[in-house]
Amino acid sequence: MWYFTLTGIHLLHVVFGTSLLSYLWVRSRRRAYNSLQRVVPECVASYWHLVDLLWIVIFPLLYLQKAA
Amino acid sequence: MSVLRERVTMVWLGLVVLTCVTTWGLSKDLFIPAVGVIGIFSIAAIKVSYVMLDFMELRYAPIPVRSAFQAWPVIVAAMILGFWFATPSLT
Repeated sequence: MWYFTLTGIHLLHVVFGTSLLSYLWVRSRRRAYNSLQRVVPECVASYWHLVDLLWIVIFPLLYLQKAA
Repeated sequence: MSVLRERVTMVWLGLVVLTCVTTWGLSKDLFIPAVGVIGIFSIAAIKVSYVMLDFMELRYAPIPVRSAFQAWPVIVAAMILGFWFATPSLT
């Protein structure tokens, strides 16, 4: 339960982040952002880094630590 | 057995080397963009594969599970490279 709750919530974050990145990709292709309009890309990048950082914590917790 | 001789240590060292190749080699305008992009995403897929095999015990999983999880990095890398090559350059 502990394992599936942690990885399940992380999966939801990843799916949401992937959707945001896809949206960003489509909008960037349409030249929607530039050096003056960069709030959305910066927010999405920050969110993705958060998801990434979470995995850096979850991975050692679940896979690298020896069970007591 | 010394920890230095264990398989996971060797795999870990390999992953570090691959990271160096991506960060200080392929990302530094040493190659044309297509080579850099193919190299970076192929290396990322190989690294994901080895992390799953040796750090997430996929090596000892049943064959169908192993096939499904090994297919994942291949599909994702192919999709990203597909997007990159299928769309015209904006510059």
